[in-house]
Amino acid sequence: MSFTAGKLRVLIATTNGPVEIQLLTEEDPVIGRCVACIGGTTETADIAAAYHAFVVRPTGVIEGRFGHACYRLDVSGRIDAGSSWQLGVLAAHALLAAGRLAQENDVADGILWVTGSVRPVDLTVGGVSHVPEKLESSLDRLKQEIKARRKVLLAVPVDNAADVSPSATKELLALGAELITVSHAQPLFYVLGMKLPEAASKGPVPVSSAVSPPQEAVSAAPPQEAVSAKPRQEAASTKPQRRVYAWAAAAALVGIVGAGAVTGIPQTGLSLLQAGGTAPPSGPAMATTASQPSQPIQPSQPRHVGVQLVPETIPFIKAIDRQRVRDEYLPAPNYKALAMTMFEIYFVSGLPSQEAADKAAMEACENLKRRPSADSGLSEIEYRCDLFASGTTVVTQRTGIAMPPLPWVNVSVQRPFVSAELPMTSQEGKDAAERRYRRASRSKALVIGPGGRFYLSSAESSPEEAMRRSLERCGYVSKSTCLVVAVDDSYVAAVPTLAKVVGFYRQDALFGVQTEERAEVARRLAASNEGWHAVALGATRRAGTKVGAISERSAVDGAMENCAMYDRDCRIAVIGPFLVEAQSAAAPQPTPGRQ
Amino acid sequence: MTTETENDFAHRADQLYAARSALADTKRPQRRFGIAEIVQFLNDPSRSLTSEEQRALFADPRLRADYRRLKAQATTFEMPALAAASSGNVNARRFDGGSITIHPSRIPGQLYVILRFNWPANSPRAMLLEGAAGDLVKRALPSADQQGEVMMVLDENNDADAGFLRLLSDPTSTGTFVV
Repeated sequence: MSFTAGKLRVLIATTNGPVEIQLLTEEDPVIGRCVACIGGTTETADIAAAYHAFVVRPTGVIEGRFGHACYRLDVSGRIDAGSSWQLGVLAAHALLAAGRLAQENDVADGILWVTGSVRPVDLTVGGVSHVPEKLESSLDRLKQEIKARRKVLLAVPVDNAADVSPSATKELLALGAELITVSHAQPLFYVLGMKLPEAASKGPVPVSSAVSPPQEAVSAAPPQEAVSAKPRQEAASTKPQRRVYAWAAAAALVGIVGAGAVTGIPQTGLSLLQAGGTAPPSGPAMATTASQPSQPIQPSQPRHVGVQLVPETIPFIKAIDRQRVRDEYLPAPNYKALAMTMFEIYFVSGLPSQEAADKAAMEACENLKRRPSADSGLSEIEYRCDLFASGTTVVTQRTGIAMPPLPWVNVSVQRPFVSAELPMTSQEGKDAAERRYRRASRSKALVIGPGGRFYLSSAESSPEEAMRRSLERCGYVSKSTCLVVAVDDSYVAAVPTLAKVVGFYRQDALFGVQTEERAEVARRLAASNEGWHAVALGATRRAGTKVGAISERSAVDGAMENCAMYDRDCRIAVIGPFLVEAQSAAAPQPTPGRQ
Repeated sequence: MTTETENDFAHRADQLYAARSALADTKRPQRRFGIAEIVQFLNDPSRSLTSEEQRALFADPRLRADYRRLKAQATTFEMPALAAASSGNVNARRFDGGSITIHPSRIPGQLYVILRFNWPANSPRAMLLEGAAGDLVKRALPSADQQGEVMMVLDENNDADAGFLRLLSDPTSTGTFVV
């Protein structure tokens, strides 16, 4: 069944049943703001503000790709907060641009039922929650659509492959629906017969003109066979011949300089190794599309392993290296393999067997990787070589990278970076930050993990890339989400000066506070991601909260006053994203009369 | 003598009983619009004034002065009337602290009102609009986003929305943003 032509209706999966994208309307750009409404009424959807951010530059992904900055989205029902709507909305915009979105009064040729978040930086599709419930609550509607002879495509994130209810899936697939799992947005669009335009271009292009073949989601066998036909012909006429390239060109050196600035690794000449030559037959590509009950969904265990290589989703490395994987590694002849540290990539191709390629890539990495200097603060795990891809199948052992949700910065508390005020850090660490971060060149970011260790990136192509790379390293090494503290020369998190930071705030860290109150505090803090927040606790563990204050002092005073309304002997416990210990002079007690 | 005195007492007791009974039967007087109601109106974004309350407020100079004093305490920004040269309806207003624009939607009958505040972290919770004729409309505001923007979708066919839009586009109206 093909989804490459005809009008598709997009259904966003929710736990309350599918929510239909009814209208997607280009509004006058002079409005300067996108909006999401319910059913064409004036009721704004909960996702309205997030939708605006998802569309417009610099945070969004729509304006840069489709050339328009102001839309109105009308959905058939409520979509609660969260980001699982993003992949469906991105698909709707692409279909609209191609004239293929079935809107309210259109007759649809097919249905796209979709859930998944989209990371704006690289269009990685992230896992979402409650997938079994979402599918269950959509079953009746999907059956109706199939009964009405409309083709149905289900799209879920790779991370949720194991969550898809086997019974529901079996039932739908038996009726003729198709299911794909994606870890990046582009494979979904290949299935839809489109190539998502790069940022700043005007619209999707037909798949026939796309440079790269589908790498992850493949809806039918013939296209995959067409892709592999050329290497087979080459194999018949070309004798194996291993070639080695030393990439000492300026472009490669830029990467080395950047990484060196980050890690303190002594600079050397090589960052990429490529071997080329004969192309033995390609191995069968792993299709993640299921269209028959006899092809159960394969969960990715661990994350990403076993899926097809999508260069834009490779963690840790620079965007320029991702592009090299796209431009040089993917088209390279088999057998090939890609190994990497957290800073550099090494790949080989044209070897006589996959085993030989895997081994050669790891050897190249081990022999050529740069070593950290004593002052780098780099852990062994960060420069350990890992076989990331065997051929075009991801086999990395580096899984489980904990990433925080966007936005990563709190611009409303921005102030100049001062190494001496770095939270959760010893004097030695502050000195190191002064040497290695403050004096480093832009774009740069400083991230700290829950244990207080910090991770730096500098000389990056953009602040977003500096943040991403630092967060990925920190998220993998610490196995916890980390916090962006500084970008370039500014603090971009609410770093306290009125109390001593003792750790990250977590809901369960407010010991003694009743569960409901802890949850309420967490909800209030999570609801606002700008300004200063503070929480004070009293003698009987009642909490006072202040969110979105314009200064640290007013947040502290507000929380203390709020606490004093319900409790006595209040002390400040949280400032910004941190747990703190009150300094007696810093957090004055409210007067007894106010208690 | 003794009998006459006793009769007087009995008569007075009857009168007193009748008076108290009559008093007890009368309906308790309605609480008049006062300071407490003004405070409630200014502090609760969802509290609006009935037309009777508006009349009471504007009929009493002392109450009006109290209202202005309390409003000033809760005010973050004030939106002045436009210059005398302005005539007809307007679709943009500026104030010290931000701006408001009104745009038609492609959906018939709907309009977008966009408020932009220069200081996002402390955006107001409600807006009061006062017409030159003394009419008063209050509108609860959604939270501003990180850029300090608030977007409202309004329906010209909805009475409350129409009243708000009428005052907003009236250059002689004034506005107050309250926290």
